[in-house]
Amino acid sequence: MNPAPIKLVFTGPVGSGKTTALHQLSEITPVVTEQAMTVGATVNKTTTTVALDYGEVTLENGEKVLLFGTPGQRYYDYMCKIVAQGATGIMLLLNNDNADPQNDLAYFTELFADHAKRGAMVLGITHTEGARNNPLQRYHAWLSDRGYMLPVFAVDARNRDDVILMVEALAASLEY
Amino acid sequence: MNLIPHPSFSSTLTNEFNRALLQLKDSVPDLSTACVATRDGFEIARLESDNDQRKLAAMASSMHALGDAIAAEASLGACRNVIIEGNAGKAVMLTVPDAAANKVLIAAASSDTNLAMLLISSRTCCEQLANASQNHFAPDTEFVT
Ligand SMILES: Nc1nc2c(ncn2[C@@H]2O[C@H](COP(=O)(O)OP(=O)(O)O)[C@@H](O)[C@H]2O)c(=O)[nH]1
Ligand SMILES: [Mg+2]
Repeated sequence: MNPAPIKLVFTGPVGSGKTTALHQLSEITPVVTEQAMTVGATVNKTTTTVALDYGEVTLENGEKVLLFGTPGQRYYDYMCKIVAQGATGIMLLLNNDNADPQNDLAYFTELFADHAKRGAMVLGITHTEGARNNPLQRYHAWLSDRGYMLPVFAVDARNRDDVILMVEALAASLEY
Repeated sequence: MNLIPHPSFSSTLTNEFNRALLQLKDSVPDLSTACVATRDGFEIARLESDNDQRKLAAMASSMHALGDAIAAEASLGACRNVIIEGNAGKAVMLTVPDAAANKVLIAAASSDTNLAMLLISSRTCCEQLANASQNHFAPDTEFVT
C-alpha cells in the first residue's frame, strides 16, 4: 500500500502570496477559486481566493505532495479550518509590507495552534526586498518570546526555488 | 441588526434588492433565509426579518466558487446554481445573471418546500436582482478600480 500523501497548506493574510506560491510549485494546473474583489482591489491585486487553491507536486524522492491554499480574509476563517483538516504541515506566508505583520502572525499561529505548537509550521516572509536591516528579526523575536520553534525564511512567492526551500524546511522539521 | 453598507453598492440599489427578496418570500412562504452576497463574500442585502447573515454570505461565495471549479473540472460549463439538501431543509445558491457577474443569491427553506419551487422562485428573484443592478449600472456603484 502506498503511504498517505503529504498535505501542505499555504495560509496567511490577503496578498501574502499564497496563490502565487502554490502556482509556482504545482505540476498540475491548479484548481482556483479566485473572484474579483469588490473592495480593496489595487493595481497589483484585483482578485482573491474565496474557497481554496489546490495543486500537486512530486518530491525528488518520489513522494506525492498535495498542496492546498486558503483564503486570507479573516471572515473566511471557516474555510481555513476545513482546508487544514488532516494537514501534515502549514506554510504560513506573511507580507512584510503589511501594517502589522506581527498581528497577522499572532492570528495565524492561533488559528493553526495545533500545528504551530508541534512544529508543523514554517514561516515565509514575502515582500522583504525593500526592508532595511534584518527583516526576519521581529518574527524570530515574536516566536521565541512565546516559545515557538519554527523556521522563518525571507521568500519571494514568485520564485519557485524560494517556495521549495520552505517545503524542504518543513519536511525536515517534521522528520526530526 | 443593520447591514454594513458596501462601498460598491448604493442604498438605492440594495433597497431594490430587498424588494426582490420580499417577493421571493411571498412566493416561497416557507423561506427561512435569503440574502444577496458578493462573490468575494460580502452580504449586500437580506430579508428584513433575518439576523446577521454575514457568515452565510461568505460561505455562499465559497460554495459557489467551488461549484464553478467542479463544473469546470467535470466540463459542465459555467455553474448556474449549487443545491444543498439537508434532513430538515434545503438551500440553493444562484449566480445573479447581470453583466458584473459578481453576486450570488442564497435562499433556504424547510423540507416542506419543494426543491423545484424553491429553484424556480429563486431564479425569478435573480432576474429581478439582475435587472435592478443593470438599471443602476454606473462606474461608482458596480466596480472598484
Ligand atoms: N514584490 C513582491 N511581490 C510579491 C512577493 N511575493 C508575492 N508577490 C506578489 O504579491 C501578490 C500576491 O498575490 P496572491 O498570490 O494572490 O496572494 P494571496 O492573497 O496570498 O493568495 C502577487 O501579485 C505576487 O506576484 C514578493 O516577495 N515581493
Ligand atoms: Mg489567494
